[in-house]
Amino acid sequence: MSMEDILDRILSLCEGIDYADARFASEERTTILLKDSSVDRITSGTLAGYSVRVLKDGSWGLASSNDPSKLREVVSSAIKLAKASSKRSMGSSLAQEKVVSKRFEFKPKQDARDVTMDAKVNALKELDKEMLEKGISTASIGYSEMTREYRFHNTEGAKLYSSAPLTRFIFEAFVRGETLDVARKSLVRHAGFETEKDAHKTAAETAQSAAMMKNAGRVPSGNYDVIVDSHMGGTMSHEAVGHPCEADLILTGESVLSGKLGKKIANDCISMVDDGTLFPLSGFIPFDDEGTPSQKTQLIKDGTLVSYLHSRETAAKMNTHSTGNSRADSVYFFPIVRMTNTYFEPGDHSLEELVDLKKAVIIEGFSGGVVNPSTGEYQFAGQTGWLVENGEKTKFLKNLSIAGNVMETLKSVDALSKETGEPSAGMCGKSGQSVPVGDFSPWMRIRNARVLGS
Amino acid sequence: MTDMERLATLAAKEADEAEVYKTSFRSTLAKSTLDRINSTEEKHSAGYGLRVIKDGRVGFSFFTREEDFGKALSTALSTSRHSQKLDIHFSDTGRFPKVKGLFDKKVSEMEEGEMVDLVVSSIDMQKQPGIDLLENFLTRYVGETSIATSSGCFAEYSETLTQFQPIVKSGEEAIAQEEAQSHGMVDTRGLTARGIEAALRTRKSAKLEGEHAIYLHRYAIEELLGKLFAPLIDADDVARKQSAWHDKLGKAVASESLSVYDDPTIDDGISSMPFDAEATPARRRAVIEGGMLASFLSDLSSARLLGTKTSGNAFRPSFTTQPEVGYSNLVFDSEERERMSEASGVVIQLVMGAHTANRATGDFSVGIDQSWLVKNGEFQHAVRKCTLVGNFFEILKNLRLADDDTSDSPYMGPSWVFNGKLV
Repeated sequence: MSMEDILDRILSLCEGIDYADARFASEERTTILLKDSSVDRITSGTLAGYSVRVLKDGSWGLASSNDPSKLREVVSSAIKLAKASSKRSMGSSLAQEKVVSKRFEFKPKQDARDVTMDAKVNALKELDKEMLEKGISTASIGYSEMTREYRFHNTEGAKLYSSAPLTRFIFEAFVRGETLDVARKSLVRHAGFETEKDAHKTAAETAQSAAMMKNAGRVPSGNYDVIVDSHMGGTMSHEAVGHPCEADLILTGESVLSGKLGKKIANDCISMVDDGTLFPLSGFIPFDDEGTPSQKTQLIKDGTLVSYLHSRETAAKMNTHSTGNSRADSVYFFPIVRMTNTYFEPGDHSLEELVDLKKAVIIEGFSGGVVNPSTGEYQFAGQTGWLVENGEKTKFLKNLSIAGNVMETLKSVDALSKETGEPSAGMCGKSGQSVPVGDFSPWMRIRNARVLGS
Repeated sequence: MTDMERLATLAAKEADEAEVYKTSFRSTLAKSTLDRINSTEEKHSAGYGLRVIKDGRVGFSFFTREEDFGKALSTALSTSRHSQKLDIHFSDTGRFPKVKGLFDKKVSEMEEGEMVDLVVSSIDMQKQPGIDLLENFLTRYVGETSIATSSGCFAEYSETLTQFQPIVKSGEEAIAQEEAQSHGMVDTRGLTARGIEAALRTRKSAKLEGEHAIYLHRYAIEELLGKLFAPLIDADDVARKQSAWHDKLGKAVASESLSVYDDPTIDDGISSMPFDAEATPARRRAVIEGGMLASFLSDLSSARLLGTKTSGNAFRPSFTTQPEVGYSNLVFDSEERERMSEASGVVIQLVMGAHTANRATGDFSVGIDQSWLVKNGEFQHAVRKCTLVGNFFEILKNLRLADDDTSDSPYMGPSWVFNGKLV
């Protein structure tokens, strides 16, 4: 049975329900990990699975399997689960959206599946060699390619199909001085093996960053004017603003932005967007996991909160339309409200103007952090940075974090640069699910921010 | 001969050795949001991981249908050519320890409706003054793991696991979450009661800074163990000198009263199993004994890099991945214990941001939540969210243990007691 036949068969078995959708994905994956200039492990294989989500009397049930011979059992399980949930029904419904049939197929310039394993390993070894030439102690390179065929059908008549590759290069450069320091960067795109050509630049930047860490200094913890780069700014757009804009968190009162729609939450210079149409960024989706086409959603406009991010379910509860942000980790999971690619829109300053201060700290890169969406408190660790004195970069820094409260930080941003930096890619975790996302930002100046240094 | 053994034998016709790993499971989740059942889901999955050794090099592939075995074998052989030559050998043993309490028939046969009833019961407990409901998660896992090698090893075991996580809110800021696991039926009502108590306790908090005796709860300990402790004792990181303890074997790394064991053989233990993901028989192993670093945790490959034998600590998150080093049940023990009933200091249940710590120096700064001041064991007031700063290596060297041992998670031990600084 073809993928399309399986989904049609599943929906034909869904009797006595109010709505159902069925998803099928087939993924061809290869990963290679290079450590200490040797191949540590290679993984390669194909996975396929399907699920059905059923709505009955306002309650959901979802069942999934990777065994095509169990269609009837899986459908029966989903209906049984929905009925069991009706003991305390959510009263769920879906916002009315246009029924879409869409096909998105992207053929890369160089399909990674056509590249031999020898060629891939040799390319990684060449990247490793180039990194070591920058004076680092050792490097680790992770490469992964995935070609995903995905199909979505529902009982409203929607039929959507997509096929696109996702290629990842993840670099870690280690440098041993008084301590062992590490710099990390990645390059992730919906593209084929042609991505390798641009990976050389990312690899070199990672190694250079690590090499400089050997002699980097620290800055005492305290309050500084801070200028953050595209990686840190992009992360702030995702973690500090994007998550609190997710309508499921708004509905449960877990977001600091509950009740703030239409209100001023940031300085006039701040405008922010979630955009799932940005191809080939890692957060690109042609349509979400409820079959809604992706779109550009303005979240903050000139400092005012103008929209939340919605699934069809949250949109129905808030009497609006889906923003195409209902995403699932895989077909095995319920779709929930997620971001795609987030970014702050550019300002009208040059970087030189932003750093023209008596004393400031520049934070570059992102190496992890936490945010509490309900209170807005956050702490984000950068990788490196600079101390700025009288408008000049005077000391290279490492191991520094920025901490604060989202609502206060948004009102403390007073300038953004004209240029935006390279997009970052990551996996965003929520409710035990992980989806690829992207983010970027112009250089952003935050006045009187809390810096955690030495 | 089982199907697994047949596949391993077939693969070994083209390789020097072969290993077939299979997992099949059914997992069910019932989730509530506010006072309603938000969703219920069930997942069925089965798949194989195939490893081959050819000329001393390991190759790997995975597949879900037996008819794809040929393609997977071809891929595994092809990938082996690029792997490091390690000269490892797959398990040839057929003797494994008996570990009791991993499978509970009642859990396996529990109906979806019963799971929903348990969540509804938890919701109803939470409907009380001062408590705002948020979410409850109840999961049930029923799975089988089997391994066959061309060297004559065949091993299998079945497991059930339930996990419950109630998250409740009180007032504007207090969000309390509790979590426990069991191979039998997890105590949903007991956990709900604990969550309600924690939320009510932290409803009104006061600022607290400076140095205090810290009583770190197992939720917070697990965060530090995963992000900071596990990489220190991982043979792969040790062999690559990326562990700060790579040259500390036999040396003092913790307080002299402290011993730490990795023990997958504990009956009913959450991470117990008769063998690891490479069919190495499970056994108890001292990691730290009397404060001295006694051994590292390894799988076949990392042990080879380190020039030792595997400690039997191979884990696979899924059949799609090759084994990697992990800990099973981590037991922290000391003859000297401090009574929680006499504790004076700050009890910290949750920390956030341990992944930002510096693994080389041990320096960390983590956000704290669900925390309160106690005096002579009596609750005084909740502590407003702030940051705990310290050095992980120094904490271990001065670590004392409390007397509130737990066994409902892979960390099997009591609260940690040390002097720490809040900023």
